[in-house]
Amino acid sequence: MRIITKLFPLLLMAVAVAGCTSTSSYREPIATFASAADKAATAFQSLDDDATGQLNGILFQQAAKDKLIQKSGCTADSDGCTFTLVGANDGVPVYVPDLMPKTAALLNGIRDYAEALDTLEKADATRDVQAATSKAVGSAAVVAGAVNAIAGTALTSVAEPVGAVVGYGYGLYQDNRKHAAIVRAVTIMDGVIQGGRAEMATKLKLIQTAKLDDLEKAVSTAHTAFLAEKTPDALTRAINAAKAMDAVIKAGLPDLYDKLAEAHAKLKDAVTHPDADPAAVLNALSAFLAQAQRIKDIADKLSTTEKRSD
Amino acid sequence: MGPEFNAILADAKPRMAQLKAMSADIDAQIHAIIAAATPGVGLSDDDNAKVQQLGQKQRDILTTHQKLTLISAAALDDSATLQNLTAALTGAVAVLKSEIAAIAAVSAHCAEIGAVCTGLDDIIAKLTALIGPKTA
Repeated sequence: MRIITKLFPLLLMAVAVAGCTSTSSYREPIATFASAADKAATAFQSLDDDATGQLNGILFQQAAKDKLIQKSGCTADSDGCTFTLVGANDGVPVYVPDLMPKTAALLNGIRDYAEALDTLEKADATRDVQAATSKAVGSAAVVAGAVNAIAGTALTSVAEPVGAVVGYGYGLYQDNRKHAAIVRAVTIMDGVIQGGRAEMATKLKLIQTAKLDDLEKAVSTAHTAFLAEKTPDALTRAINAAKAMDAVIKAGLPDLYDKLAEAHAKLKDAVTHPDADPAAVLNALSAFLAQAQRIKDIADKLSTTEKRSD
Repeated sequence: MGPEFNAILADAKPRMAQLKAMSADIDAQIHAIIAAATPGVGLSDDDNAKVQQLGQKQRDILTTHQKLTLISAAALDDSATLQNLTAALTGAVAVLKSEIAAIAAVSAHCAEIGAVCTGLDDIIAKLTALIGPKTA
């Protein structure tokens, strides 16, 4: 008994140290992923708003040119109310509320999941751990629902009840159990995220092309205006239009989701294999963070320029 | 991403590529006019008018390309307005098909009568056929 009394503090210390090691090794990767996912979601929302405005602008011009629109719905017992075009584009809405709501939901879901994961990693009470785990797995379900081409196995995992994932008791082994919850959430989400790569690459490429069409028109306008006017102001406008287009071409928007998926795969490595190469993990996360930041900066700048020119 | 979306996108892609080729054609024409101008003097009034006209046509083409691109993106996203947008895309592709066929017919006719179908006027004629009569 005396021996046990002497050894008990040492045992406590050993458990505490083991616990610290198991979580602190991926604290930074999780925080970095959460920060990058937030920037990526914000940037996409801005680009989606922009693309919605572009399409609505084209539809508006078409309606104004045709001088004919018709009501669609717009009675007390109808499902909604809008206007549509008439003639060659019969039935086409005059405006759309959101061009890509599912993709926005997907990236917002990944952001919410990453936030929950970060909260989970920092939680020090059973209740917080359970709530954060539930939120992380719930976000995975939202994301899975927003990806059309989702991997079947990932959907099956998401469908499992949260109760099966966590069974926490607050105590000496909490860190180990917390680690198990993180592994579970990250593994589930990784299947979902990797399953959406091809679809997201196509969508982001389309969004980028639509934006570049807009900027190409601006460059063309500024170029021909300078050839006609030959003033310093016209030259400045031409240069600024070229700079804006150059930034979007070089931003690498179509690769954003690939970077996110690569970063998440490395995050999964970090939490499932404690001996994973920390440099490789941080490199992938840094690449995603840098690209998300770059695209967010460009989206912010374009948004500010458009508001100024309105 | 269901098979119907892939089919729509596959159908739209060559039309979009054709529009981009038209835009590149115009760029080449504008560059040729600028290259022929005297440095330090600039464009003649006549050349400047041609450049402005080509620039406007290019922007009209890009608007059509942009519309196809945006509608494709919305269709792939399976958004709430998918049904209408998918119909719009199908309609737009059908219109483009007939317009591009008309361009091909003009080219064939030129070859038939031995006319020279290259140069500025021909390109403007093709573009007018492609996107309809608009402000020059």
